[in-house]
Amino acid sequence: MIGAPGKRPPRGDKKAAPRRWLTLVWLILPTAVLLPLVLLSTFWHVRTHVLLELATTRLAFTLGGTERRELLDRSVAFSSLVVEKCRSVEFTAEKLEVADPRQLVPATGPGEAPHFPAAAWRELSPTAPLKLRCLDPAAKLTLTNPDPAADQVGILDRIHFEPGSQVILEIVPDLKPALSLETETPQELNLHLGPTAELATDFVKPGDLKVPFAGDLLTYRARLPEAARTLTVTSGEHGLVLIITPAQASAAQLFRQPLDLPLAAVELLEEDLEGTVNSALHDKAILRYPDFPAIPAVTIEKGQALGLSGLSQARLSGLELDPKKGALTVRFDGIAAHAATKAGAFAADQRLTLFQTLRYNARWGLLTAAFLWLVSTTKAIFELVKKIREG
Amino acid sequence: MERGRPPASRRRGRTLLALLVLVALPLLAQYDPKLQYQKRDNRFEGIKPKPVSGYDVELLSALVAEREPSASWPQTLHVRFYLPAAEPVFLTVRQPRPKTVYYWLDKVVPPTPWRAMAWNEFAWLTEPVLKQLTATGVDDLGVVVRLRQNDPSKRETVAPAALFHTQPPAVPGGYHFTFKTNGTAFVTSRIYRDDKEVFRRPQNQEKGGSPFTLSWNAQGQPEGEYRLELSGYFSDNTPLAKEVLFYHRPSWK
Repeated sequence: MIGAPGKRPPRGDKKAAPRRWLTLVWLILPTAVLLPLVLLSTFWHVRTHVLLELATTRLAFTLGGTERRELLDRSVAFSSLVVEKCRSVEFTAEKLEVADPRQLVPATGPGEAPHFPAAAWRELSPTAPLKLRCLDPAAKLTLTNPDPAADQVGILDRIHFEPGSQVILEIVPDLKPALSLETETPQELNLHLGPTAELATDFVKPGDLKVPFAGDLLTYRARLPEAARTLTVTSGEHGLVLIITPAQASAAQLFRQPLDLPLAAVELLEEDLEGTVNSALHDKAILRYPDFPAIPAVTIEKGQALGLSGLSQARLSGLELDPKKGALTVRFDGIAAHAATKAGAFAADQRLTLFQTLRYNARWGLLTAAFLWLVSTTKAIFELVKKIREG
Repeated sequence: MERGRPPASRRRGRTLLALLVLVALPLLAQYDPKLQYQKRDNRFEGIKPKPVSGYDVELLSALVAEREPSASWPQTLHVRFYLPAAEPVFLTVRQPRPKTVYYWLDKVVPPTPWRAMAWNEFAWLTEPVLKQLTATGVDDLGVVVRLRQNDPSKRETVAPAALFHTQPPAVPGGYHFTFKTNGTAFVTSRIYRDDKEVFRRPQNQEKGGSPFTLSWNAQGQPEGEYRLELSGYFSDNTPLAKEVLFYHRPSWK
């Protein structure tokens, strides 16, 4: 009880002052504790489940899981294929010719390709099967169709990627965009070819075959027997690089559908000539928070860099080649320990804050509502009981 | 001088640096921080994020053709080159085809100043970085010794180098020049001694980002300055041109 103003409080009210102080403390304490915690939670970023939809010219990732996985569709038809880092190439030819490099008619404008006149070709007598050896680290093999009007030269073999290995996909800009695929694990590929193929070889030597022309860059034309239209490519011990120009029929479905690849890491950055880390994004990217649909998605502009690390439970769920844009359309999600973007000199953490995870969490919302209901109802009952007793 | 809190601009700079590191973190996180590009003894060496293809045509390596075979990383690697005149030297060792990250060595400080009209050598230990890069071998390295200027340009001067670990090849009998274009292009390569063509690589379609090498057998060619010329055009009809000047010295003496 509080005494009347101007009068000394009665002796029995001496304890009232500390009780009042205690009441004030109890009133202030929750605010004093909760307010800094709430403030802190708005800055405290936590591991966040993110889903990214983006278009990029380059995507590098490390395969997760424990099993070998496939990335490409099971029958990718190609109109041109470049193989880098090969060890050997083997095939059987019914008829094999090599072109005199001095007689090459160079291309003079766009849409044209260099070609050899009929007189440039010299027939060879291959032993069956013919084995070409890639003797130099710079060795390269290009497969095309000798008929420039034909859209397809062959069908790619199934390529398996080992868990823990890195895969690099990159768009090679051209009139018909190609896909560069680099893997670091050894491969042996059996390519199924059509009846004829042209092979441009660079630093690739035919085993015992005598070739009448000198030079590291030679072009062969082969007619393949119907019973053995397979060309086997063996890679070096550190994997190989394939530059695939898909045939028109395969361009739309180059990758497996549906795709569900476990990822251990993903990288979307490049370094510019000044040494600054930059984005490989081709267009705007959308970053969503699938566990919190009410939180607005983040739009990452083309020039912004995006870095993700400490990924867990990540999976690549969509991958498409967009020939018109000359880009890869990628969709993946995972729980990121770090997710940051950089626009010019400004960097931003894109993980959710603790506050957001509480505010937008349905369970926490329900618990808070239940708690408020409990407090208000208890208070009402308490007041009601008090009034009944007084009355 | 006051030694209290650093000024606001410096604090902002530190914060920015920390955030930039955060963005770059995923890229280099898989490697030991000790492997990252940094100053080491007489050079800067380490791994860097993959570069964007900024130059339309770039010289990635200019090496003496003969290479010593090596199944694993030797203790030490040596680069030897002939310096025809007293000029600034910029030596770079790199991977011509970078993966997610790639090896880079530059800003070397020679034990003694580079000597003009003489063979010069630089050696470095493979233990700190190269030996840790298990998916890379000696054959994956390229070397460019640029003279006069560090940055690539349309016309540049280089000193072709020998990369070896025990002894250099018997004679510098030929050269490997590795280039890449940043888009698909039709490229013809020629080497001239004065105005006389001594080598030609026929026109070939080179895919953007895919390194291509031209190999010139210099046996019997006189000592002196040569000019390597790349010509052609990109698939969008943009012309392509590059010149590389180099000095051919047919003996190690």
